[in-house]
Amino acid sequence: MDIKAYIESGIIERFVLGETNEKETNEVLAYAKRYTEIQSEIEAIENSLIQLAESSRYKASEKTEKELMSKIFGESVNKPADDFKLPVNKTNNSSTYLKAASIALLLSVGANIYYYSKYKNSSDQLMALQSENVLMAENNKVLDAGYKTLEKQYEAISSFDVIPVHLNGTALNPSAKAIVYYNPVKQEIVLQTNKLPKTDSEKQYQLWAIVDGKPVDAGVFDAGDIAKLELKGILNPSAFAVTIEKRGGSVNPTLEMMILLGNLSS
Amino acid sequence: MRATKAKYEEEELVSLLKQQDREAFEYLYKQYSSALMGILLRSVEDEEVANDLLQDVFVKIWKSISNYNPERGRLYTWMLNIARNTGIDYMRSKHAGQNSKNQNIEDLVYHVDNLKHVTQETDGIGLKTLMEKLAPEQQILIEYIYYKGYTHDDAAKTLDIPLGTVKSRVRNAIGILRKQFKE
Repeated sequence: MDIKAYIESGIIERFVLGETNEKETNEVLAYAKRYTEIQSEIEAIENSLIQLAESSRYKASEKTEKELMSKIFGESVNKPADDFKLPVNKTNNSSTYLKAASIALLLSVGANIYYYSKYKNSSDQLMALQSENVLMAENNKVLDAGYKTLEKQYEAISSFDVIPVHLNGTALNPSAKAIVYYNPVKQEIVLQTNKLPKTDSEKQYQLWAIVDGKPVDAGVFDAGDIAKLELKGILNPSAFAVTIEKRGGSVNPTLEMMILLGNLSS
Repeated sequence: MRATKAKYEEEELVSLLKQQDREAFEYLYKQYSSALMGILLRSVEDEEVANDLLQDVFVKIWKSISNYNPERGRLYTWMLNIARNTGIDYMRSKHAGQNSKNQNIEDLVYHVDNLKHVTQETDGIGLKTLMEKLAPEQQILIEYIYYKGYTHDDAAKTLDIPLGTVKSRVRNAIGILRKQFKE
């Protein structure tokens, strides 16, 4: 078989693009097993197309990912840490959230009453009530989610196992503050970060536990309201520190970029 | 070395995906969505449409992963083909009735030139995309055949060049792209 001519016929390109019929496909696969040149050609074309794709990457919108996951899996994607972020509302003040939510509920009930009296005809009433029920069910879902989040947060900080540690700003930013709620039993930390300035997108905060005088990585987080970190066996820290690192964190802390420090009281 | 490592990760990923593992799918999206988005954008040239089609592409991937056979090639290639075909099918149904084969070369050169500015993410230091390593006549053919789904025959007819020329230009283009792939 004239391997060169076979390659030059373009059949291998069509194979890689998925355009060969069954007979052609089986033929290419058989030749690939027998002749290394053909196997190499297949791989070279694949690699070229992959390189082409890699070099022309374009970011899809965040909305696309959310909609996709919701289409396939039903509800929105939530990693454990995300459960600890309050639903997106103007403030992170929980009582304001509750007020807003109860106003929404009242409005919904009010609307219900309004619709009830508006429709004299009973089947109209029924339809209106049914659509109102849907609205209320939706509201309830939102409220439920909100309450569950608050419950979890309260549990996380109020358990008797939790050791709260106040971190204070260093010379880098004296007004910065944060509170670490360290749970050595559950090996998790909840952080109150709303008094930390936001970093730019290339940087991220990293928490370090000081154990036996050495810094141990405790995870990365962004400034905002509440962050949750899972620990891998951090016991008996004497202090916690926060540094500003590149996004994703560093193996060792950049000590000139330490922004917070706090000791555990002995 | 690098090629071996990539393959191992792919095997594991494929196995998990075939088991309909959600985390594996989410990882897949994070790793490959921008590459597939780039392909779609080249075919449909509309960001909103491309975002919608990207969802279709990933749903297709999720639902037909059982059909993916590693013997036929890499997972990445399989996904690129799904993305490419989705884009091409969309454009075909959109232009059904219109005679899109009337496009002349000047239009396409302008269009290819414009696309150089579409890319948002780049690897490494240079801002030039891989396409720019190709001569204009090669870029045009890659546009027609790869991104727009023309057959070699149709491309030859539309551009009024011999079929042999089409084939050799495509081969040369692949040769150049290959050289860019290190390791």
